[in-house]
Amino acid sequence: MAERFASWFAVLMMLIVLVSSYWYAQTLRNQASGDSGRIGQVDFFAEKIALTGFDVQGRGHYRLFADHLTHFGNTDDVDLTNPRLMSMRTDQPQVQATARNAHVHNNGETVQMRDDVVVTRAADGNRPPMRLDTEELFAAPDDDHFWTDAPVQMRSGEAVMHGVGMDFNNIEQRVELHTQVTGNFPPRSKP
Amino acid sequence: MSVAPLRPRRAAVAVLAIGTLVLGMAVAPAWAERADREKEVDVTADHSTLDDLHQVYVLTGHVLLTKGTMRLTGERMEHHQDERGYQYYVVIAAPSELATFHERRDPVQPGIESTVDGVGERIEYDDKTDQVILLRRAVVKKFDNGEQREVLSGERIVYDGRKDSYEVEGRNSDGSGGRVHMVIPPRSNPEASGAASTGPAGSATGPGLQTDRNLPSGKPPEDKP
Repeated sequence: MAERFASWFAVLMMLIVLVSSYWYAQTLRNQASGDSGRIGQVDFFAEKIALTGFDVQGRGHYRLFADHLTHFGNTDDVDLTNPRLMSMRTDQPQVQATARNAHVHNNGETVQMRDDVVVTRAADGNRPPMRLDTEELFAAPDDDHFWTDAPVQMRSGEAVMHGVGMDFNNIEQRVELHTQVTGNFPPRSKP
Repeated sequence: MSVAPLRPRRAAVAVLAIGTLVLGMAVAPAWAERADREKEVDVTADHSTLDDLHQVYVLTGHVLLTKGTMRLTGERMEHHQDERGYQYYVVIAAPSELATFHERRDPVQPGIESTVDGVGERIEYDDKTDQVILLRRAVVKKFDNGEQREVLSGERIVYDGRKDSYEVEGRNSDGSGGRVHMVIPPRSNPEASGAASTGPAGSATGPGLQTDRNLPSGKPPEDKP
């Protein structure tokens, strides 16, 4: 009787180990794919990142900062928290874009920024600073190009414009508002 | 050429053919509403482009600009601003249409509200000089309490909001001769008021207008009634 009990006990222990191992493996697998159900498996995380993009001559072209980075191995896409994208072109005034969240597609070819997106262009010569506010923005950092289909507010100096849909090309130095444009130009301030 | 203010005494209509010459006139003294100058400009349009390098806005599609009581409409508008902050607007009409200008003027007589309406293929407004320039197929009409008073038409009309004067040019854009048309109704003669203000083409009738002093020498009015 004691021998039989010892045998059943050993079998039971083996079953427990087997079930526990299976459960633990499943749990790990679920955790790994938790963020990446839409785009693949997460292969690494990083905190407080700073990433520099270079042009073909090896010169720094842009810098990307974020509080948190999640990298997806299958697609090479990246999720960012509190991203800040800064142009480093020396021939144009500095442009900076910030948001609460961003998703980087195709190894940095396109950055999709979401929530409280702000783009600023520094003052330059006689040009006043410019600021764009929207809720979603796409950026092509290599081309210094920003665009959206969402409502946008643009401030350039004292002038304020609103529209729906926008293209901002910092190389051509043009900002287009696509539809439903309203604007306000304040009177000249007396010296 | 700018001339002394003209004070119409009686119902009058003048249709003047002066070719490439310029005729100036000043009508009843009422300034463009001064408060407008301190007002901000609001614009609406279908589309806009900012030339960020030169700080020039180009708005297109059903453009409406308002500045106090002033209103400009057209298909395309350019907004320029110089280094001192003065603003300059150019409004262009769609093909076969006309850009419009409207402004209320400071009242000079109690109970009379004067407004100015103008059209042209191109209208320019200069914030610095308070001048409105209406170009090609230009017509300017003044209304008192909604009743049409003076009417001017030509290829180029310059309305000076500070001097409250108009300068009308009949010359076409290619330099060929054109015609300047004026309709100036009586000031406040109830008997004659019915004969006035019929349109810019000189179809109204009246006993005559003393316009010789306003015309360049050797160019008498061709269609003087």
